[in-house]
Amino acid sequence: MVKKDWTIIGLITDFDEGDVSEMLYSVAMQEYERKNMILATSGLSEKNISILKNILSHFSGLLDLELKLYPEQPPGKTLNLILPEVDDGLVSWITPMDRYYFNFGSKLVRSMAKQGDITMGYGKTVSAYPVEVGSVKHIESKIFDEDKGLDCIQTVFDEKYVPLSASVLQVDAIRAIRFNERLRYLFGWGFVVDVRSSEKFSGLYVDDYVVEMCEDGISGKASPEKIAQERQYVLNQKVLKEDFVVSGLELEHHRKKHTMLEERVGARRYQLIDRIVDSRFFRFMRRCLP
Amino acid sequence: MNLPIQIILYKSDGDLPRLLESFQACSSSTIIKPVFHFVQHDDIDAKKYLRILDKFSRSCTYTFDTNENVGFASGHNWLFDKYAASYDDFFMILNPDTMFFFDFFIKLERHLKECSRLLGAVDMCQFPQEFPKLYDYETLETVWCSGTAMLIRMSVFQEIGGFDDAFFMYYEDTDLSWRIQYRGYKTYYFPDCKIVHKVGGSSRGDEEIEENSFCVAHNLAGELYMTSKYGLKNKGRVDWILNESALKEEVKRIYGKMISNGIETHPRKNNMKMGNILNHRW
Repeated sequence: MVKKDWTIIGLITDFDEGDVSEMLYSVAMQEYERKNMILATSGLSEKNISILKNILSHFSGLLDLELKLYPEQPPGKTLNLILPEVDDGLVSWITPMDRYYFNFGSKLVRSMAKQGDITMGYGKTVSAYPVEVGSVKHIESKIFDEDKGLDCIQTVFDEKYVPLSASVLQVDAIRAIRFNERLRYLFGWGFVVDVRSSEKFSGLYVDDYVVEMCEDGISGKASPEKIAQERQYVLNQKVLKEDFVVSGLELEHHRKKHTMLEERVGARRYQLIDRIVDSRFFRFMRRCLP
Repeated sequence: MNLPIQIILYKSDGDLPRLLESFQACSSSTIIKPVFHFVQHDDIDAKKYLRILDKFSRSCTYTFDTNENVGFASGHNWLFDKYAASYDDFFMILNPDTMFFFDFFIKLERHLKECSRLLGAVDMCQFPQEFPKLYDYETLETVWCSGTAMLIRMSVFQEIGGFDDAFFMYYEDTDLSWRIQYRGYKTYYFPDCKIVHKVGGSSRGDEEIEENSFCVAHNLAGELYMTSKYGLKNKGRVDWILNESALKEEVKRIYGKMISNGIETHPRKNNMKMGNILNHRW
């Protein structure tokens, strides 16, 4: 029996019955004893809230679920409001465009819970491309990280980040963060945590697919014009790269645990370790060894 | 309309409550009235299963039997033989590690109202991970139906003699689908009838499967059996299985047993007319 609570924050800023149901089922099927979900809506109409409540009535026996209604506001602000209320333990985010795979809880979250003080655990993602025929959504294709050549890490503005929907974080560590409230939905990337620098946190990588992202999901339905507008907004606001990087976590001591962790949970080598091993100094040192 | 749902329980005491909970949450505004037929194939104390079932007895009608582990195909044939007298047009086979979407039976009813009389079997949409398969997204015809959640027309099942008992696990659903097609019936996929199926993210790779040599051996033996049964061109793979695979001796033993017990060998005849084909999931 794992002792850590796992809180899943579901963010709903737009509404599609099918997407929301799939998201909820993907959470309901997770095998983790102490999970609970906070569903936060932002700017939903009365009609959609009513439909949503009807959907939620089907999940009363399947999920420990709390609904919070917020006016239309940037998702970063919603997260900043919810985080102080989340119990200590682990937290993850999900939107109606994401579906957890079964092993998100059983593999990724459990590994995190067992390790105790790792800041962030993450796995690989699958992109699903649906096409709608009549009222039915068909998944036309799926593209895995390895097919994308990304190896679990998405690229944003030429830098590498882990998408939050593929990750689990320690609540006490993430509480120190204020999410960027300037960014609007399409730049949800703004919530990502920079994994390049181990000085900020320690990471646990599970070499498995844990989450599927519908590339044409509710948040991806924006037209190219809307996406361009959002991009322009970001540029106009002079949102710099620093805004996309969460900082302030001083958990350097976690670094030391990586090697041991890799052995214990089979996690792939952490990027930093690779970098050190591959460094000129290290190679020089190895050559000097008998 | 009664809809018998056959379920084989094998170490399913963890999954069963979730399945029944999801069934309880299903919308009741449909003429479909499911009746569950459970058979236990493991050595878990039957009282444990009965306690779970008892908890849901107000919302679900069921029968419960125990039997030796005769495998997936024979297990479902056994249930069918025992309860077919009470079946109507269709029955369903379902894995216990699943959950119904709450609108599952509403969507199913809609499809069945307008279904072709040639419909032999139907595959349901598995969420969030699906088997790779081709289907026509206009006619919804598909090349095979998965045994995870399959709706079968009772008369067709009887006509083709049920599942081939030679299979213990794996490929029996593909075989059934092809035999249904061979008799001139069609197999369909209903993409909006969704069930949640507990499949890990590694199902694409072989790492987790390889941990269980029993499953791998049956999988490979099933592959050989299907190859010979339907005259498939698969020489390179067959050579590898028989000569190079780590479990070749065990595979040969299982395959030999399958060959001696199998039914109805014929070259594959696919009557599907594929128009707008989608490469289903990955």
